[in-house]
Amino acid sequence: MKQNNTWMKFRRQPEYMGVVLLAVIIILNIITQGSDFFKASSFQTILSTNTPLIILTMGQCVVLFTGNIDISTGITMTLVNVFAVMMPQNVPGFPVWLAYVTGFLLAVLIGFANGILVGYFRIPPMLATYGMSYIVAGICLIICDRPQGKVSRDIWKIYKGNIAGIPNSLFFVLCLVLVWLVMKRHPGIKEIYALGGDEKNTYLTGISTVRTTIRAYLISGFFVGCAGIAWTMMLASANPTTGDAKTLQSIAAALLGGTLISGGWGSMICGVLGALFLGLVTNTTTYLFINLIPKFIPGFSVSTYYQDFVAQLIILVGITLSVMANSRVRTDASKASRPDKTPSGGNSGKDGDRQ
Amino acid sequence: MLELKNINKSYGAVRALRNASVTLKSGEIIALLGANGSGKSTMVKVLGGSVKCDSGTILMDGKTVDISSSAESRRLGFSVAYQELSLIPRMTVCENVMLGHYIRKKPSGRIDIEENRKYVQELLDRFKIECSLDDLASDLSPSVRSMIEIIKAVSWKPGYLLLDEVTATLHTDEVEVLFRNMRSMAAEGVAIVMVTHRLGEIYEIADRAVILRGGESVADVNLRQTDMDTIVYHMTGKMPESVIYKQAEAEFSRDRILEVKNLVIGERVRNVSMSVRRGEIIGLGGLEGQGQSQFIRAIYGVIPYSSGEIRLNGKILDHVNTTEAVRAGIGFISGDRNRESIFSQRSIGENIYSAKLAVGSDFGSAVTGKINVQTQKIVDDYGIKIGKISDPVSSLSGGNQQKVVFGRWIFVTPNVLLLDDPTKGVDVAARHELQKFLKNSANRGMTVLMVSCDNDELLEVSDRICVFYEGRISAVLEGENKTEEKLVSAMMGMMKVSQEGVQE
Repeated sequence: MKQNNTWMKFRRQPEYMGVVLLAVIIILNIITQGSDFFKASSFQTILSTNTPLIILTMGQCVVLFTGNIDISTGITMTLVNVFAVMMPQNVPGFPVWLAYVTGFLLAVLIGFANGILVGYFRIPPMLATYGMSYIVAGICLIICDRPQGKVSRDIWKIYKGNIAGIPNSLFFVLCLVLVWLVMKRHPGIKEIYALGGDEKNTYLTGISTVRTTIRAYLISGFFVGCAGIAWTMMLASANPTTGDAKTLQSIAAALLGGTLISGGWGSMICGVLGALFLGLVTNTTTYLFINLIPKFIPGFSVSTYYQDFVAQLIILVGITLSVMANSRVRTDASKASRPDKTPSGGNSGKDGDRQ
Repeated sequence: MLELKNINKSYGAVRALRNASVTLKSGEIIALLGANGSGKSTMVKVLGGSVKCDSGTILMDGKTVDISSSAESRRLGFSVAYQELSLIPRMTVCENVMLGHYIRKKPSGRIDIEENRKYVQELLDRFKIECSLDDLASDLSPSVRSMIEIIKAVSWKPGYLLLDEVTATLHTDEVEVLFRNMRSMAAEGVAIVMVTHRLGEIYEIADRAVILRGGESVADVNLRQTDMDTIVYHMTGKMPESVIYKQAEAEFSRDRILEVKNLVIGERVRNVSMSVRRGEIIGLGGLEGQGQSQFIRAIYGVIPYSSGEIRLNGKILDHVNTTEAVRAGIGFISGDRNRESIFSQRSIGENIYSAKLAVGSDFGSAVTGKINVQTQKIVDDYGIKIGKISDPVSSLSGGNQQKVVFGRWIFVTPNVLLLDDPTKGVDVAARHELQKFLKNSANRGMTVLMVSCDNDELLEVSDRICVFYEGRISAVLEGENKTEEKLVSAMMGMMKVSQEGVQE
């Protein structure tokens, strides 16, 4: 009975679907890749290529908790990359460490600016961060108009190395997860969840919604900055364009992990799970086409676009499952209570949501 | 000691508070009373910081204070338990109660989980609430949720506690526990303002009552020396007149078009039955939030009902969406035009045509030219003053917008028309025309169910008035019983109905 309770409790956690999806994809991956999956080098590759996305998703999650969204994260990560690599090369005497620190701070600053736009000026988050992404993209191209530059071997070696078989990039992620675990014990994070849960009631409780929004974007900026550093070490060069695609991936990853796009539900662990799932899906389908199918059909060979097709199909199924799992938790909850709300979630009575 | 002097607040043209004044001594429990729209909720919101008053002074111990935000109000020692609850659905009980003022560990600023849980558990025990600290607010029953809202307010250790109709969803034993706690808090010097529409309760708990009418504070009475009739007189300007009403059941056997049997919607509507004849105008009266709005929305299929039966023309309606309702011949007009009826950016023609879309097939044609010609007829027939039929509906005045919405339903000629406060915010002339529409439509055989907060409108237009009180029909007024005095006393729940079929 007790075990049953723990299970039921786990099922109601936001991470539930993320854990299930990740477990499924790991099994699929083992099937397609075979025993090679357990090799240290295989882990190393998967983790080091996906660490930037994992950290980026963690940043995206904080914003999603407030019920807002940030679509400038990918390009901001690129800015950190471009700045850290190109500054020491273009400006003689610019110390490398300072370039990294400044790049990181720029990301935090952009997060803060997004927070001001959304929280204080009340610009819809989609528009505000979309506009911001073009500004940042412009700056990126001014600093570096094409993929170029080089990160010194000493630096990226740290990222791609390992301690006792455990990849260093994993330590990076674990450190940030630890930061989150400490952080979520602070009232400020509870306020972020509250804001996403119900903005009006959060205000009525005496919490500044403006400050809470800005705080969420600031924390997001911190994580995006970290993602930028990881991204730089992974690329080992400056690339002004490829990072932008990570934005939508990070949103998808957050949803896959169990975070709700409407806000107030989820955790950064969800982000980590979802991003790992995304990374493993690509891995799985690659091996499916180059390893598993040729075993049964000798000489099988198709364009890599088919891999993408299958990968995206799996992701779509994953997101559907995750959203359904979350809405089931919510309908269970509403069944237990009075059905006095309209299906659209508004007040069925006459009280407007005006203040 | 708290003094509110000459507080004014207007929402657009509506004056919610005019020169309202209230005084409150520490350790005192007062009741704030008033009918619909008398400004009691606005008063609470002014003190809670969610609404800023236009003019007036608030003196706290003789010093002027300015309540500019909800956070400022908390800092000054106000704490509000809201009628609509201010809980975050997907957070736990403990988090909800402590939100905004967590007990922190000293140097690190982290939440001291143990201390917080201990504090909330003490409150739960004190108010005898049976729930776990880790339950999500959305999983709780309505009455427990209200209790959590109360301890959320109490947990701030306020100097002034404001309770806005919190007892509406509570059971008797819970009310008792609440009152015991209120008395002990008052003894410790907390000043408590209680807004309620249950007049019976206030004698039990309050010493004094401040009564608002039309935004003015009309009376400040000592409850020991005032009887209920006088209070109702102050609230409504009419002396209530109690009557026992017997319904003539035989008359309903013919031509019933709409029958509702034992309808239950959560805790909002409890066991309501009604039988409506063709061409009849039924007024649904009562204070705001007594279940009338939910009742008609359930008939229209907007909100699901828990149990009961609705029959239209003898056929059971178990639709779950509004499309089926419209196809079955039901129309719905809401007084909250912007939120629930008009498409403000679209043209007048399209607005009128929109209900026709629900009746027609999904891929039928709807050419703008055809729409304009057909809807122009409605506009001409009913004298809606417009510029061009293709103008956006937002170019019209509130009254004419509402006529457009009427036109929308006349266009599809439903058998039953449901209205929720249709003349809210409409000027007097337009109001009369709309009422004339209703009477004409009813004469042509349309059945009308109208919720209204306007007593004059109910008395003038409806053939019968069903008065809702706490989710039940407290009285059915018809013929010579249809007087304002009786309506008022029924609205306050002061009337007993001795007749089977209406009450269980």
